[in-house]
Amino acid sequence: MSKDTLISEESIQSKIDRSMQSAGLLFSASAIVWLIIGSLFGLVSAIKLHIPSFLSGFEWFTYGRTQSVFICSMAYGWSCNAIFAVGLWIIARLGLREVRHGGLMFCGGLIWNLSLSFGILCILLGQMTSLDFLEMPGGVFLSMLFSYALIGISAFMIFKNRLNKEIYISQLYAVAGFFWFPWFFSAALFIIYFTDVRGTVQSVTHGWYAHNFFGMWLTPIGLAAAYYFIPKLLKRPINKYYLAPLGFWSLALFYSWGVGRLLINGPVPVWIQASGTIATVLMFVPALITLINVNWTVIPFFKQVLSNYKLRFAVFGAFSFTVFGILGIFSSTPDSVAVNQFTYARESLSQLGNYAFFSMLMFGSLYFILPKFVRTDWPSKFLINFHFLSSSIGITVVIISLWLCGNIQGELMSDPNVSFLTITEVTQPYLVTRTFALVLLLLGHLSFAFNFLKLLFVSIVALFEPVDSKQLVVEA
Amino acid sequence: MKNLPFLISGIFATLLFSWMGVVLGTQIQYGDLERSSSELDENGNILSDETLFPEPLVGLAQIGEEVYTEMGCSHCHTQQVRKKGMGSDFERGWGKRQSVARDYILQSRVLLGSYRIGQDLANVGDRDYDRNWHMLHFYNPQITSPNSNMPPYSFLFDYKKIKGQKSLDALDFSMDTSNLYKPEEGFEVVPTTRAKALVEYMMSLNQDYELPEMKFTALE
Ligand code: HEC
Repeated sequence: MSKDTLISEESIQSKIDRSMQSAGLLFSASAIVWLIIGSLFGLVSAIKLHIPSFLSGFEWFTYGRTQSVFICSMAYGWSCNAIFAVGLWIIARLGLREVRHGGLMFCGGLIWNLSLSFGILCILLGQMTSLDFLEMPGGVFLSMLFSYALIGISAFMIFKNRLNKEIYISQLYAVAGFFWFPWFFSAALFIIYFTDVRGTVQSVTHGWYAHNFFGMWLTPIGLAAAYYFIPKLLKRPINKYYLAPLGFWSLALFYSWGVGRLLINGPVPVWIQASGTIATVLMFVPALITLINVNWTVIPFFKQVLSNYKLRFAVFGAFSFTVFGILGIFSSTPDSVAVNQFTYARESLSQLGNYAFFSMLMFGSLYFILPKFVRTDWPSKFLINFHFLSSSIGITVVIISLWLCGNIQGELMSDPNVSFLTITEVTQPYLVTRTFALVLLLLGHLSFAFNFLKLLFVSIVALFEPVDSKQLVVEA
Repeated sequence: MKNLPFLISGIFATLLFSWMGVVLGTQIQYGDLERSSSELDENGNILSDETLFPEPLVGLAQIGEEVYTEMGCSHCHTQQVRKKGMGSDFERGWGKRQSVARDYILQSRVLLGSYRIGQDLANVGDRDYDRNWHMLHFYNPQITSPNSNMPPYSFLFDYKKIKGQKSLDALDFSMDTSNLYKPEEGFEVVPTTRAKALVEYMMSLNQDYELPEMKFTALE
């Protein structure tokens, strides 16, 4: 590449960063606020499982509601906002196309977060449904769908008008995610809230939605980030890149059929249960290909990973995806379903996917992207290191303790001579351990938030400083 | 990978494929299930002079279902019995048979649940708990089930001074041998309408009937 094209590419890149600045900062700031809210409510719910009288006098804070608030703020608050920031940025950067409709995106983000806040309030007041992920009233979701349209259309416009016509795998994952989300979101919303579909058809639709929310929305964006940042930061090409499209299309085809795994032995058609198990097993294809593509690229350079904080988050996430795939397959054999179904093991697997894989990748990406938006580097490396340590240790403890807890709970539940109160008693130590780990996670999130505030502060101060000292900050 | 329309249709189609299979398929198979008598006549028709199952909830129990939803009880309780051999649903006496799709057709929001931090409740109305037991259990589970981690729902009850005579529906604390949860002398605990509704709902929950497609499971 000649020096000229290099320079022009760089200037396009900074143009892209600037064009996304306001919307990107709004998404990131909201993501972080919801992350804190979500982890607080998650902590409260976790405490209630071993100190049931904790905050029990207030109807607002009964377990059923704090748990729903936890799920919704993590899903629609943290995850979706992080996706908006990271996904859009990846699409723009790889297409070498700046964002033309930043204002539209900003409005979309504003409406999204206002509706969500209202929805969370509804849950606390008891205006909720019994379907997790779809607890909020239909109107709230409609308004979120509308606001998503503003964001999604801008995403599509960036992609359609891209200057770099080559489509990279991370772009493919990101664009597909931005397509799939409104597709299954509106389909499920319409069926569940606005038709009179009855009985377990509702449960199947709901299961399909919740399953896709992770598999066709969080997963593609998480993988987009893994495919984008890891080779970029390592400055290495992806190992066996030609396999990547196969991984993508197999995820697209199989994942969504895995719903049945969650409904197994339930009052739903038998073939759904069977196809669910098959689809879950077939997920080994995308899991294996990501392993070959991403993790194999990383392994020879592990030293480099340890010294780079953005890489550390991303690599932790990418490896968790492999573990998630393996554990998912092992826990879907009929024998283990009979034991693990309905236990904390399910929560463990969901934390592995949602946090250890997806959220860690988003942390890494945000640590990379946010300084580009404000053109200042992170003020405190210490806080980043602390965040990494607390998140990686915290989530590992959460996953292991819930996994053990769930298996013990399942074994005991299968033995009809063991009373429920005994099960409650035996699971206590694991639940207490989980609570301590959640405190650690919360501390990590707080240090992330604090660092972000400092970053904003430094960059705002820099705006008012004379030009030459501003230059210094940017270079640092 | 440069052909955009091809790519977009592929992305669209993969999800359409699973939507048609999973959601539409279930709707076609189960969408028009109706209530049915336990047996069918020789032509496979419903016997219209017999009771049709499932029976709708009546009176307070309907409100109770709403209370159950807004308290998020389904975060900890399922309402689905698995077939004999899966775990010990059957051995624990959680139901006489496996739950089937027809059992749920009258529920406006299905309450299958996905965690069993507490027991399955599909047939809780069939167990030998009386109304007072449920009341005490909701007021504070520690009274009936020491060390339970089910949260207390004391905000569904009024704690008040006895005026003249004790209220008729005041909770009977004679079960509370620990004396820790009894109201003080001269006070009483009275359930609100929501607590009564929730208890009625508990009492009415059962799948204690056979359906053409599912008979009671033999004991051995
Ligand atoms: C934090 C989890 C949790 C929540 C939330 C919860 N429960 Fe429970 N529930 C339990 C546990 C654990 C038990 C077993 C110990 C006991 O009897 O308290 C139980 C037992 C029960 C029982 C007795 C079942 C039997 O067969 O003995 C009933 C009835 C019940 N719960 C109803 C409810 C209702 C109604 C709600 C919502 C208002 C609710 N539960 C919310 C955990 C929970």
